[in-house]
Amino acid sequence: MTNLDAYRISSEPFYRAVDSEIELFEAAHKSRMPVMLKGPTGCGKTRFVEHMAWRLGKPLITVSCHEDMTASDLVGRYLLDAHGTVWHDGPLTLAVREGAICYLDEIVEARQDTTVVIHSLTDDRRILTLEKKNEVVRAHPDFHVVISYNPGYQSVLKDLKESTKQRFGAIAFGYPASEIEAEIITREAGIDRRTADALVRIAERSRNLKGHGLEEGASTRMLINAGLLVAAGIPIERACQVAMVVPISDDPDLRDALTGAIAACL
Amino acid sequence: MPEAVPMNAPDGFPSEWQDRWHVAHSRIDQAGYGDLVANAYRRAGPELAARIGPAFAVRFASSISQVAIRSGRLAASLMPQAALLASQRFEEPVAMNSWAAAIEDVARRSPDAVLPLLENTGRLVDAFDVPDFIAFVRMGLHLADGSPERRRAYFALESAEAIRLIEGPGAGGGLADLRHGLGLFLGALWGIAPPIAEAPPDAPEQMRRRPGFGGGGVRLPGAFAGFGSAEAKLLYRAAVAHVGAHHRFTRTRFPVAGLKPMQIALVSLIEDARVERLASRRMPGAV
Repeated sequence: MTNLDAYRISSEPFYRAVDSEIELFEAAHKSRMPVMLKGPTGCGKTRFVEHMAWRLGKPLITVSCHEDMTASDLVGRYLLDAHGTVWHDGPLTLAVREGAICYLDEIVEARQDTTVVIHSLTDDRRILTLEKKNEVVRAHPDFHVVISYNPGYQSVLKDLKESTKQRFGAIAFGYPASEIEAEIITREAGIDRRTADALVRIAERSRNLKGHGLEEGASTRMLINAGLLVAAGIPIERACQVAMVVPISDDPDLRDALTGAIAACL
Repeated sequence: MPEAVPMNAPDGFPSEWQDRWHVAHSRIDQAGYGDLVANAYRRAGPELAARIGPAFAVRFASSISQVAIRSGRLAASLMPQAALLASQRFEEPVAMNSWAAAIEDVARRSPDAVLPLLENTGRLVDAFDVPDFIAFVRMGLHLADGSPERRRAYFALESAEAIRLIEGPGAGGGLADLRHGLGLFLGALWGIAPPIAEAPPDAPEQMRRRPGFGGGGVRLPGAFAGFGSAEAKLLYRAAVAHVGAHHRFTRTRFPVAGLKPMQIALVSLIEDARVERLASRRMPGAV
């Protein structure tokens, strides 16, 4: 068993292509061009990268970025054990040494001074400098860096440096067209097409309120959750409340308006 | 959130904005609007920059010009102070831009109404958030169309309809309590956000009793007499859903000139049925 066996995806993750994103990613992967997946939450970015890792037969190391994440969390650190002080590679270093797709999910959540550690890996140098270990790691030929980025969360405080953005090719994601979205929900939640169509109509109503009280409308992931509840025997109105209304707003007027919109769609 | 202003900007304008501020107030100084307007803008500009952001303070010169040209120097001289008052309530640049755009709209369509409107800025911004302020302005322009005196009275807050609107929730219940939620419901169903307002009490009987639309807004009765609150809410929702269906599916205005009232009623009925049928294909429970 190698260091990366645990990161290999053995069975195909379902992914329904909506455009030419699979071809674009494959082309970028050939040259190991760093890829940025841009799109709203719950639209399928993470599922896509899992599917691509499976499709390309490459291990996938996913890091969920957060604001307390430090560069050491990515590259590694010295830790004490029974034998003394021992270096432990972080997830990024593991991917660089052994050759994996390293997926930095929601990278804007990390501080900008943390994300600059990937700079030397995302140009023609393809090296990672471990300053504390005084080591320069040359990237394995299979190493490929992928990040996800939700433009809706951009702000002055939370945005990528221009010098980081310009190292990536970007594939834009959105919520799929209604026909495709219904197909995805039918497949993922195991419900009939008629119910899936109704859920998509409800999601469209929710997305109309983006910028009018909602940060984001209901995502495809939320629709699948609603579908799973329906498949488990919960009436659709109740399932929508649990999966699509209560999680996205605490405003009583907004919840009431969404509840009315759900009734209108059924 | 106000646009970022560096801490080393005691007069409200960061160094990179100083040139643009100089150009903006020089433009007002030299436009021939008089010292009253120029001094008011010079005094208020830095404070507006500090509160709302330098971009708004500089752009605001254009709004003052529009008002000066259309409504006169006195009205223009009130603009900076009115903006400072409004900025105490509307703290976001986008909100203040909407406020200024609404004033410019009144200057274009009803120049004499700007002065009383600005004089009442304090009461208006206390009573309304930005969407409701815009709804108030649009309703005034629409309902008092063709009557300068009625418009002046409306914007001076002397008319019954203006007083009724500004007193808001608690004055009559019904629509006042539901208006915000109805706006969200309409937005969710049809992706539109027109202002929703009550028909004034001195409007024709038919206008007061029936929902309608026009002038960029939705007009609803203040209450549905004889209905409980839950039933009234359903009626209001049905009304805005129907208005939204017209917004989405009625593409051309039917020429009614020469038709008799009964013929107009028949045409309206057929159009109502047509848009509801189309709406029900997407939202079977909406209509």
